[in-house]
Amino acid sequence: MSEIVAAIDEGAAQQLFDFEVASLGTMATSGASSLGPFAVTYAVTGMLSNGTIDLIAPGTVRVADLRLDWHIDLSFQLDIGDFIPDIHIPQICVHIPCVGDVCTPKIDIVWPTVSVPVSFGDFVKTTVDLGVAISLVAAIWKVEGVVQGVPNLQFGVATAALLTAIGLAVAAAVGWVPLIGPFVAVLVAAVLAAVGIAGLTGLLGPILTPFISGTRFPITEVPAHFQVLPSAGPFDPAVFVTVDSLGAEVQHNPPEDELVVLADISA
Amino acid sequence: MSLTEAREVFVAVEETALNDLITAVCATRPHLLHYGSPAFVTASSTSATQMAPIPFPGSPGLQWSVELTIPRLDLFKEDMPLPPELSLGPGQFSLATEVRLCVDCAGGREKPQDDPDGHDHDPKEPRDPRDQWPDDRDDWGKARHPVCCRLGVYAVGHLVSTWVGGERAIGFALDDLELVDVEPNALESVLECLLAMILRSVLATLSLPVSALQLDAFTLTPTEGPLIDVNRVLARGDF
Amino acid sequence: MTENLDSRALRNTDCYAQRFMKPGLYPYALVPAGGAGGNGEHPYVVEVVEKSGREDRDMHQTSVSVRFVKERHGECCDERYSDPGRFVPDQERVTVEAGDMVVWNSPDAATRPFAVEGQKEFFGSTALTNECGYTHVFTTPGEHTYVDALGSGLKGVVRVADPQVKDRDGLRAWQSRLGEGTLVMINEGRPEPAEVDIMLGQTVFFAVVTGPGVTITAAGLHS
Repeated sequence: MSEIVAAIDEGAAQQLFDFEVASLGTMATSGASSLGPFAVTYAVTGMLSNGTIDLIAPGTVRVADLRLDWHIDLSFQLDIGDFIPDIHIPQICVHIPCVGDVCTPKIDIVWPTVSVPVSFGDFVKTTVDLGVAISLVAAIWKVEGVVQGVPNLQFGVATAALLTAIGLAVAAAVGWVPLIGPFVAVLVAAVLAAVGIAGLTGLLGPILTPFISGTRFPITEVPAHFQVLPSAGPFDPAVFVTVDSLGAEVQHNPPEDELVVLADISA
Repeated sequence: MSLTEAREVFVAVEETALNDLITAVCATRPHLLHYGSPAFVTASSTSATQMAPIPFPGSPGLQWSVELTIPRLDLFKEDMPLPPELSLGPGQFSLATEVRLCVDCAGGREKPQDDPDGHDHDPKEPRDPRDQWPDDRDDWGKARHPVCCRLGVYAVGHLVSTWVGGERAIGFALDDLELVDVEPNALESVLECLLAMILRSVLATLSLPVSALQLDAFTLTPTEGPLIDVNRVLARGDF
Repeated sequence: MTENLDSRALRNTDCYAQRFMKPGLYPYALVPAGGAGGNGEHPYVVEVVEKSGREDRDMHQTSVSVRFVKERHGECCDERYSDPGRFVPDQERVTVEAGDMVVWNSPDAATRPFAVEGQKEFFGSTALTNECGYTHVFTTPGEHTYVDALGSGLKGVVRVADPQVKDRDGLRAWQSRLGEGTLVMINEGRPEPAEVDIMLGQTVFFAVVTGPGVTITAAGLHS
């Protein structure tokens, strides 16, 4: 039997989770990936919130409807010539009275490669199971909830909205290109068809999933050298005990499920 | 039955852990268990608390010391045998310790010291019979003729709610005390009274924050307890 | 989007044409548009010889292609010691007969704007004087008003229609019309016609017969 038992019910676990998730703050990552046929660089921020706690014995904390608000800034290089053909203006001759025919040389309008910046944000909800993990790191006992498996993020409406944002970004990025005006709609349609929903989920999934699966949700921390009393003067130094072992589990103690921390100490 | 019952947070501390906590406090701050006048305690420190000599007419003061061993607690139900005069009831703890009482026996008849802790007066050195209370102020901080005894002490008590450093804590209050094998009975009664007063004062200095009882694992505002259950202290409250 | 209509700053969508009526040597330079960078030298030459053959021989045109060449000397890759580059014609010396025309153009879209600066006053793209011309491919739909940045009062309008290309068939139909050119004659600072309507991507020839020296500059660009 453990010497010290501390337990919280689901209501307290919910309060604890809400506080810890809020403490996580904004997470960020950046890197390179692909968006359909395009190589992209990106910077993403994410923030977790909400989530309803369900304690499930013997060691699972289920978080339902965990919400991830995310924002992505990405940039990709668009070679316009890959989507619409270069324009060839043939030699043009005019007859100038009393002078003769004057001709221009052939002019090739070669489409440039432009950089397309896209900025977009949305949210996604998912349900995850957290396993209770114990570790001793730098003389600190840590009790954390660790995501089990890979959460399946459903983006839904967000992908359509992001495609629209990409289309608008492409149109804005090519606006300066001479002669592009009549071709913007054709270009945007071609780019979006190349990217597609699959391209978006292929980009977003691997980037956003780690915001959830890679997050360790703190439950509690106990120093292995635990201070019982602080120093109270020159003759009253701080008093410590040693936490020899620490464990955590979910117990079903009817009618409740409770998150229980167990410890043994020595003087 | 759930641990938290109608509350959000539950904490339970077995008596072994409670004794570990008390041992840690007393071992780190032994001055809580050792008191003495200047002949026995030259200055207050982490190890001992200096107190004033007992004033008495015609004397520079009676030099004394009291030292207790780290108390060992037993929570209801009784695991540690008690003298028949004491009984451990629900919600109570029992306590066992040893008290060493010393006085500096200045002047008077010389008697051989059979207490190995006492200082021996050289019987070859003559004493002036007129000098019953030699002026030993120059020798303060040094008991010249200590006489000591050790007594086994048993007590029962209950927990009290108190505060330490602005947070809720448990304290220990004495209900009854018993010495073993002191005669005559009247002397035992006097000593029991004296030691009860001493032990109450010592226990008043011993407090354990509620947060320490559960290693600060969760925030707890007690609404139930801390109280002695069966071989453990428990509390329930809000997160 | 702004239409880069300015005869003083030639791009790959522009040509400068000059007819040489008298035999002689006509040195010139290729300078960055705006004038900065010219060193007063005229290293290139148009040599004009007497007409050979028949008097009624048709006017011949010689095309000169201009490129921008980056040059470095001194420490490699150290911008402090390198010359950023210069404009270079594909023929440093062209020989034409009197009455023939030379047309300058840069085929490279990346080439920065340049000007032709002849040693003779009539010879130069920054002031179109006699028997010369400026061509421009219009790349932006809308109504474009042009003026003379040198203040002669010259003014005209080019209306550029959006072909409304929806698909590849529409694209092909539009491309087939790119070979159509429109002529505007400018005599003594007056354009004829003063207003023209063209399709996006088509070319307007501004032929200057004679005048005080004008520019063809989009209103709002002249300064």
